Amino acid sequence: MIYINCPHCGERNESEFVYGGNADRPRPADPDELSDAAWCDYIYTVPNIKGWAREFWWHVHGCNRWITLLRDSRTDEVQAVTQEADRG
Amino acid sequence: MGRVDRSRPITFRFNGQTYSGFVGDTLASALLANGVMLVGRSIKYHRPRGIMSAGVEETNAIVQLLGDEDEPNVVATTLPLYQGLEASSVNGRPDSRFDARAINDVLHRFIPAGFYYKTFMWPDNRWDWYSRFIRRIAGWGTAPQKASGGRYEHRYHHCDVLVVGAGPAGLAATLAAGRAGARVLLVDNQTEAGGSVLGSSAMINSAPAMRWVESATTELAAMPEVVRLTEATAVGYYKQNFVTVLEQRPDRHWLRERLWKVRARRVVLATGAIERPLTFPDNDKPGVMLASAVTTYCFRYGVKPGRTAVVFTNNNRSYRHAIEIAEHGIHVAAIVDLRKSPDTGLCEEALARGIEVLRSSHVVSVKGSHRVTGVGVAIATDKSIREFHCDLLAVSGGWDPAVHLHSQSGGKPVYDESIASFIPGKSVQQERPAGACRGELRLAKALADGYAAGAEAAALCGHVGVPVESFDCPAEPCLGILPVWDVPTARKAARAFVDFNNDVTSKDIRLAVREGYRSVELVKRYTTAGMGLDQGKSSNVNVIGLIAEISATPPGTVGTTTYRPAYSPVSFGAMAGTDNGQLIFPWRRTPITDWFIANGGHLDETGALFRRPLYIAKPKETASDAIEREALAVRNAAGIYDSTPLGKISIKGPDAVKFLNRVYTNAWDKLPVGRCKFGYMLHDDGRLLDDGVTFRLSEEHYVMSTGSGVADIVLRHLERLLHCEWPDLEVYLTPVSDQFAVICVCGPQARLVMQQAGIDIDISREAFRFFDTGFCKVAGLDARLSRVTYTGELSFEIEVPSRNGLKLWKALMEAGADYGITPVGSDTSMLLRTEKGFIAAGLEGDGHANIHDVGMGWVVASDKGDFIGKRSTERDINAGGTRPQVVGLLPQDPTFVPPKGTPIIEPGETCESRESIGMVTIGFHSPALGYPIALAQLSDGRSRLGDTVTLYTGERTVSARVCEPVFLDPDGERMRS
Amino acid sequence: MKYSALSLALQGLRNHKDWRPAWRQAKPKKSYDAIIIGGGAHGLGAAFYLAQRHGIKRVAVLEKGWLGGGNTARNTMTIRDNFLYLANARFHRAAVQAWDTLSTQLNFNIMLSKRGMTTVLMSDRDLSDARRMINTTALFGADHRIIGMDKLRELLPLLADSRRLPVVGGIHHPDVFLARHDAVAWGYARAASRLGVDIIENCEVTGILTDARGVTGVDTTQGRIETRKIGMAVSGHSKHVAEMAGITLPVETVPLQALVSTPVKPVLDNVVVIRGFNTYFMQTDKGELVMGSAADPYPSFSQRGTPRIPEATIAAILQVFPVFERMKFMRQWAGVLDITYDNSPIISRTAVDGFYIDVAGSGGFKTTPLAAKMHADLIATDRPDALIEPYSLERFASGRLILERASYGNR
Repeated sequence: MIYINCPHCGERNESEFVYGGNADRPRPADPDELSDAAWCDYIYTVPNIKGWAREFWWHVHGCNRWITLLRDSRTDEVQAVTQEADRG
Repeated sequence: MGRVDRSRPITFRFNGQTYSGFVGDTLASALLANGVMLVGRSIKYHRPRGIMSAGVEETNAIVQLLGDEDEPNVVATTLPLYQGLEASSVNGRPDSRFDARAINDVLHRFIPAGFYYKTFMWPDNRWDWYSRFIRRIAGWGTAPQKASGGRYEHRYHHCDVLVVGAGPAGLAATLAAGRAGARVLLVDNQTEAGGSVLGSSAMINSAPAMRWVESATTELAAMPEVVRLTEATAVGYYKQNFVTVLEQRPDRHWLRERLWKVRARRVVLATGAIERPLTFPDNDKPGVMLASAVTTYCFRYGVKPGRTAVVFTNNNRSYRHAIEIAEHGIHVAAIVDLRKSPDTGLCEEALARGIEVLRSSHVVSVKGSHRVTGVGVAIATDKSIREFHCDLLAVSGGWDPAVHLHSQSGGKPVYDESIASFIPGKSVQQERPAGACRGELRLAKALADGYAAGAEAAALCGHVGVPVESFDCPAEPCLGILPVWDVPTARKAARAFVDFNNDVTSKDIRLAVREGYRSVELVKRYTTAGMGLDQGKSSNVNVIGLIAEISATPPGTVGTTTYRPAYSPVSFGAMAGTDNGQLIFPWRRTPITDWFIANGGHLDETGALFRRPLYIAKPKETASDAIEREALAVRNAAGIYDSTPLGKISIKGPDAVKFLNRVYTNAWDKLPVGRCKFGYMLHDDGRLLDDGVTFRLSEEHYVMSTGSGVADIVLRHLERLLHCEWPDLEVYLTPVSDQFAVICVCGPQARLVMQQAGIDIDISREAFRFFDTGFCKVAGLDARLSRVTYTGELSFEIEVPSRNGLKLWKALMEAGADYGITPVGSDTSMLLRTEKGFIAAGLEGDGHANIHDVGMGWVVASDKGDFIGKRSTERDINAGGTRPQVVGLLPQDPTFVPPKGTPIIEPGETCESRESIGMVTIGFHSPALGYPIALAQLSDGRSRLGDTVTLYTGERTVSARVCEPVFLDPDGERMRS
Repeated sequence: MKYSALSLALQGLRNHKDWRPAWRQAKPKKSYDAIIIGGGAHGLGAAFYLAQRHGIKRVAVLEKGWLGGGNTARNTMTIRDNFLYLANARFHRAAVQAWDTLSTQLNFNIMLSKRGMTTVLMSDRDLSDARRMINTTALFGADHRIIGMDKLRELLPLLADSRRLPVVGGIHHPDVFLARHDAVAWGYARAASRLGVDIIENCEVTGILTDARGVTGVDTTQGRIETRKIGMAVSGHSKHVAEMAGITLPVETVPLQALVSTPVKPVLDNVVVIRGFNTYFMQTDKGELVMGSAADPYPSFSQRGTPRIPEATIAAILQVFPVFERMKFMRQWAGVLDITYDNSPIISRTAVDGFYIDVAGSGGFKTTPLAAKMHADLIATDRPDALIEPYSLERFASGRLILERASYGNR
C-alpha cells in the first residue's frame, strides 16, 4: 500500500489515487509530423522504467488534482511529490 | 501455580471426551493438564503427533473445531480455552490412536520427497485418475459446511511507533517511546504481556520478571497516547510501513475479529525468537517437545507435561530450562549435550540439582509409539549407548529470531555465527528490530536494546527526552551453540523430521540436493519443506543448515527464502471485513429505481453499478412480450425512459470549444448556444472510446453526456488530457451524473404528452428543432429540455435536479396516460436503437473498432487540426482493407433471431474450416418490421452489401443478407418530426 | 534413470542412492548453436524442443537465478482456452492440447489434471455476455456451456446465493486443466539436459552482442558466450533484455498477485470464476485454495504483495461462498507480467537477425508447451508457424493488433 504525500491533502493511501502514466512522455505536439513508426512507438511503447521515474497520479478520491511524483518501480518507494501535474 | 485462573474452571471436549481446564489455558495446555499428549496424525505418513511447542510455531497440534465454531486448521497452542469448546484431531481415521493410513509410514521408503514426479504417469498420463485418490487424503481439516455469519471489521490506525511484541524488549521499547510522548501502538499475539518471561523464572531488577511486566503495563495503561492490543498478531508488513494486525476475539458478543491497518512512522520489531528442534531419528514422537515449551507449560500454565524428562541440546540456554523443569518437580534424568565442553558453571549448577550431564552425546533412538517411553543416548567419549526411561524429551537446537516481518518489509536476513541462525539484515523501511528478534537472547541486553529502540523511534518522530533506565538481571552465559543440522545415526531406516507439518525428513532434503535441486527455493518446492501450515517457522533454518552442510557452503550463502504475509493465517472473514453484501459495491440508484421496483421492472446491474430495468413487465407477461409491447408503444404512441445513468460532465471555461475540438473527431466551433451535437471520442490509437451528445448551454458552458458504463473512464481521459497534456487550456470539468435526473419521452405522441404535462415554451417542430436544447418549466419544475434521441423517434429529453426526478416521472406518466405512455426498459431501448442502426460503442466497437469500422467516418473533421485519435485514424491500416466493419444482417429464415456472438462464415463454407469472417453484435425480432434483424461486424463488410453470408449457430447454419445497418426510417423523418 | 513406479520401488530398496541430478550443472562453453535466455518453463521448453524436434543440441539455457524462479513459480497453474478472437482462440485451443501427453514425453509427472472451469454469473448482463462468448467460440470447437442453477449447484455444492446480486447461472468449460507449475520447468530441464542441453543457473545476461549479420553472442556474469541464435523468454524482464539487442518492446510490467489458504480436505473440483468480481480460485491437489484476481493497477517490478488484492479477492469469494468465512488465508505472492499493448503474445523474429522473442503478453503458463515449441521452430527455421504469424512483433507497426477484450478474457 503505497503512501503518497499529496501536497493538497497530506499523506494518503494509494487506494485514493489512480495511476496516470509516465510523466516524461508528452503527447507529440504535431502527430502529423511523425513517421508511422515514430507514432506507433509513441502509442504502443510505454517507457516501463525499472527504477526511478516521474509519474502522474490522480487524487480522484481526494482533492481531484493531478500530481507528479517520483517512484522507484523496483521498490515502490515514493519521493518528491509535486503540487501539480507538470512536465517541468 | 501458573497464570491460569483456577477459580474459573471450564469444560471442553476433545475427540469426544469431556475434560476440564481453566480460564487462561490454551487448548494445548489444558490437554496436557489432562494427560493428553497424542493430538493427531501427520499428513503424509500418518505418524502419531503430540504437542511440540507452546506458541505460533506449532506444527503438530492442529485441530478441527466442531459445532457452532466449526473451523479447520486451528493451532491448539494458540487457542485460548473457552467454555464448551469442542475439537477433534485431524488426519486420524478411524481415530488418532488407530489410524489405518499409518500404512504409509511402513511404505515410507517408496514415497520419498517428490516421488509423485516420478510415477503416476502410466498409462498415458493418468494423473487425473490417481489424483482423485491423492486429493482425498491431502489437506488438513475440513472446510466448514455452513456459514457462521460472524462479524468482522477493519480499522485504520496511524501512530508514531508501532511496537510488535510485548515481551521484555517490546515492553521496554513501548515504555521508552511512550515516556517520550510518542503515539505508540503495542501489539502482541498473546492474551497477556510478558512474552518469553511468561514461562520462566527470570528476574528483572531483583524481582520476578512478571512483577516488572506488571508495572510496565500499568504505566503504559496510564499513557493516553499508548494503545495496547492483546491477541493481536502483526501478520503483514507492506510497503511504506503499512502493517496489518489481526486482533482476535476483540469482543465476544458482536465482533469475532478485527483487522487493523496500521501506518506507523517507525516500527520496532520485538518479535522474539523461536526455539528450533533438533533433527534426529524419531524426533516427531508425542512427548518430544521444545525445551522452552516445557518450561512455558510449567510456569505459565502450571502443567507438568511429563514425569521424567531428558533434555537434548546443543546450547547453553537449555541448562536454564532443564533446571527450571527440575525445579518444577519433573525429574530430569539427564542433559544430553552434543557439545564437547559446555559452560562449566552451568554443568555444576545442573549437577547440583542432580541432573546428569552427558557431553559429546546424542539421542540415537526414541522409544514408544504413541508417547515417548525412553531414549537411547550414544556417548562419544566411550562409544557406549545408554538407555533412559522418560516420558518427555525436551529438545533445543538453538534459537531462530522471528525475522519474518523484517523479511516481509523487504529486508534480507543475514546469518549470525554466534547464534547459528539468521538475524535481520539492513533495514529497508523505517523499521528496527530489537531484543531477541535481533539475536539478543540475554534478558538484560534485550531489555536495554528494546528501551534504546523505543527511544530512538520516538526521537525520529520528534519526541525526545526519554529518562535513563537500567535493567538488572542475573548474568547469563552466551548461547555457545554448536550447530548440528542432522544428528548422526547408524540406522539406515531411521528418519529425522525437518518439517513436521509436511512430513519432510532430512533424507528428503538430501535427496533433493542430490537430484540437483540446490537452491533453497528449489529444495522448498521439491520437498514442500516450509510450505505447511506454520510456513516453516520451526523448520526453515534447519533446512538451510542442512543444505549448507550437504553442499559445503556457509548457511549465509544458502540464504533464506523470502517470507511473505501472512505471519500466521488470517480468516477469510477478517480479510473481507465489512466488504460484504451490499457494502462491497453499493448499488447506484436513480430517483426512479424505487418506482421501477414497485411497478414490475425487471432490474439488472447494467454497468457502472446502476440497477436499471431491462423491461417493465405487466403481471404474467413474459420478457419478450414486455419488450415487444414497449417497443411498439414507442413506435406508435409514446414511451418514457429513465436516462439518468448516462454520464454527464459539465465543461466550462474560455477554452471549452478548443478542448472539444481536440477530444472529439468533429468540429465544434460553429455550435451555437442552445444547440447540441453528436460526437465520437477516440483513444489515441484510433479505437472508439465513447459516443454521445454534447450540449452548449452558454458561451463557455457545455454539458457532455457519455455512456453510463464508461462515464468514469471518459472523465479520467479528459482530466488527464487537461492536466497533463494541455495545462495551457482554461477548462474546468465537473462530473454531474448524480446531480441530475434525465427522463426521455419518445414516440409520435411525445409532443402531445409534453404539452399535456405543462411546458412553458413553444415546442413545435419549427420553434424547438431536432438537436435544440434550452431551459424551461415542465410540470412546474425547472428543467432543461433537449431534442435528442436514442430510439429514432420524436423525443424530448428532460433534465431536472435529482430531487425532482420522481416528481417529473410521475407527472409525465399522468400526462401521458391518455396517449398510451409506456415505461421502457434498457433491453427495449437496445432493440429500438438496433432498428435504427445507432451504433453502441461498447457492442459494435467491441474494444477494437475504429471510427471507419463502425461506418462513422463522416463524423471526422479532417480540416480542423489535431484531435485525439486523428493520426491513427488517418493511417492506411485503419481506413479499410479487411477490417471488420459494421453492417446490418437480414436472416433469410424469418423465425431465426441471431443471438449475440453468432459467428459469420463464408457462404458455402462449413464450420469445420473454423474460419469466421465476422460476428453478430446484436440481434432482435423487430416488432415494428415483423422480421428478425441484426447488426454485425463483418470483415470488409461495406463491400459485401447485398451479398449473402452464413450464420453458424452451433447446430445449424442460416443464410443472411448483408445490408446497410439501418432498418427503419433511414432518412430520419421520425426523429426530426 | 527413467522415472517409473518400478525404478522408484527399486530405489526405495536402495535408499534412493542412485538418483542422479535431474539436470546437469553445466558451465558455459565458449560457443553454442543457440542460446535461450531465461530458465523458466518457456525457455527450458524452447531448449528442449530445439534439441528434440530439430536436433540442435549445442544449446544453452541461461538463468540469472534458480530454475523456474520467475513466473513459472508464481502463476496459478490454470490452463484454459476461452478466447474470443480467431487468432487467440486457435492458438490457445492448440496450446491446451499440447499439454496432453507432456508428462510421458518428458518422463516427468507434471500432474496435469482436468478440472473444468465454472463461471458464476450474477446478472442478466453477465449471462448475455457469456452467451456471446459461447456462440463465438463454438465455431472453434470450444466446449463451453451455459448451465442453469441445478447444474451449478451440482458442480459447486457449497455455492450460496450471492449476498449482493442473485446468482443467475453459470458457464461450464470442461477443457480446463491444472498442472504442477514448478514441475513443468523441472521436467523440461531434465529432458533437455538428457538431450545435451547445457542448463546454466546463476548466469545473468548483461549484454547482447551483434554485428552486421545479426547476433554474435552474449555477455554474462559468467563470461562471454558466442552464438548466432538467441531465444528470449524472460517474462517480467522482456523489455530490458530486448533493449540489450536494441529492440524496443511494447510491454509494461505489472504485478499479478495470488494467494493461498491453509489446506483443507477436498471441497472443490472445478476452477471457479466469479465473473462480476474478476476473481477466480481453485483447490490444489494439496488441499489449498489458490485465489487470484486482476493485476495491480500500476506497473511495478517489486514482486511484493499488497494488502488490497488479497482482501478484495477474498471478499469476492465470500459473496458466493460465505461458508468459507473461517477458511484461512496463509500466504500471498506477486509475479510480474509483461503485458503487451494488446494483451496477446509476441512470438516473433525481430529486426536483429538471430534474435527471437517469446513474450506471453499476459499470463503465459497456459501456453507453455505450444509457445515453447513454436519458439523453438522459429529459432531453428526462421519461419513462423501459421499459428503464431498473428503474434509477430510487426503487428505493432502495422496496427493489426489482437485486442481481446479484457472483460471476456475470463480466467
